[in-house]
Amino acid sequence: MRPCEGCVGECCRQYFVSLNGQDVSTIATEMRLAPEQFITIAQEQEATGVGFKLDATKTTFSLVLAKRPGSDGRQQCNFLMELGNGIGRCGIYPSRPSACRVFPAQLRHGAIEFRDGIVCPKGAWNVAGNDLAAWRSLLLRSHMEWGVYATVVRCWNAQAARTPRAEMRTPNDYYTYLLDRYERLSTLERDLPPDELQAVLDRWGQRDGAPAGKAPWERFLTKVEQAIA
Amino acid sequence: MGTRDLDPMQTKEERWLACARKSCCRDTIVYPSGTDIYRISTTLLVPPWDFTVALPAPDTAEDGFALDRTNARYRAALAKSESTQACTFLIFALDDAARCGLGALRPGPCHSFPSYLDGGEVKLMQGVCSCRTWTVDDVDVDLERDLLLAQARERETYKGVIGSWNAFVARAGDEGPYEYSDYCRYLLDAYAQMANATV
Repeated sequence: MRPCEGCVGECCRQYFVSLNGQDVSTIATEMRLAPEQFITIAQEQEATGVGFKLDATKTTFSLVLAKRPGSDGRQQCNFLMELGNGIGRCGIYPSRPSACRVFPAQLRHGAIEFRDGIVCPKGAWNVAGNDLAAWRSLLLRSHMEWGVYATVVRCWNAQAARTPRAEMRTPNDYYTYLLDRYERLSTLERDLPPDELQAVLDRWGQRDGAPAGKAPWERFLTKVEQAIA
Repeated sequence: MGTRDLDPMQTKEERWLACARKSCCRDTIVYPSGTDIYRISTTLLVPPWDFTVALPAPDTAEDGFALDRTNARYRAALAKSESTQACTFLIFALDDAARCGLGALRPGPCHSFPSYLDGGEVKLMQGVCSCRTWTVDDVDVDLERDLLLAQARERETYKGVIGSWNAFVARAGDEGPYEYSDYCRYLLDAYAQMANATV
């Protein structure tokens, strides 16, 4: 049996799903929804590096997929479809956020592992029974998306830091910024030669002896900064 | 739609997607074809009886299946949510704007709605949508015709599967009556065999 075959969607109920800019852009475009129709913002308790500001203070926020009460009264992801016999399925599966796509896998010392202590039944996930190459692709892509998002947020925060307190920005201002910048970024990756993109993905965050700023992923982030400036 | 238009709406697909009310998913009963049921079930890994229900059909219905040796016939319809009374696949944004959770997987009748063929001519049902009044100018007539003709072929195939099932039930003697899930298993098996035969 495949791990998600009898899934009731506990992951869509018990977890809060953090969104990056690519997630917001994809869901907004594919589902024809405005970000404020599916996002909740949460004030960060600790700085994550991807928290956005709305003014010149140190307060940062993160984007979270919104929830609503399900038929049993429990909070659940807005996009969870409740089918018969308690079965749950994602209603935006092809456009689901990065965090959902990679769940419950993670890279540890370069190897794929399935997280312990998750809501899935014990033993549901086993590295021996999974397409690890596909999981690796998803994880590498996720690392890249979050890395790009950190750059997009940093540019926004630099603007927000110059905003007078009386002119505090709103979440909707931030969403508009995100949609605009990710539209610009969509051509950036498309125009990259496949082998260059693969080099960016494969060695994301690793310098491999290259001088600072010269690793493929760093050069890519420089292009990102230029595209969104 | 919320406060921001993402880009101009042009195609029927985009207009359908952006419709926030989705009255079609609330006010109509959707009868998927066997192809639809097989596609949704095998893609979502959900058995048909968890997203469809058997509704009584006229005993003369060509696409009506039997569950016993009487003349009673049924048709498989998409289930509706008890809490919203809307299609079980409908999802809702924070402002209750509705979207189809199946997207490209949705049944043929949902794809073509509100188009229909009248003597080979594509026409659009009137008064069925709360979001707009459809005219042929809103759709690509050639695409709609192709879609509707493909659905007609699927329905013929489905009738064949139902006919085989009904013949099986008629021969079954004391083994019946059957459950709706028995019919669904037969349907999945029949379509799996057809899929394997075409690989």
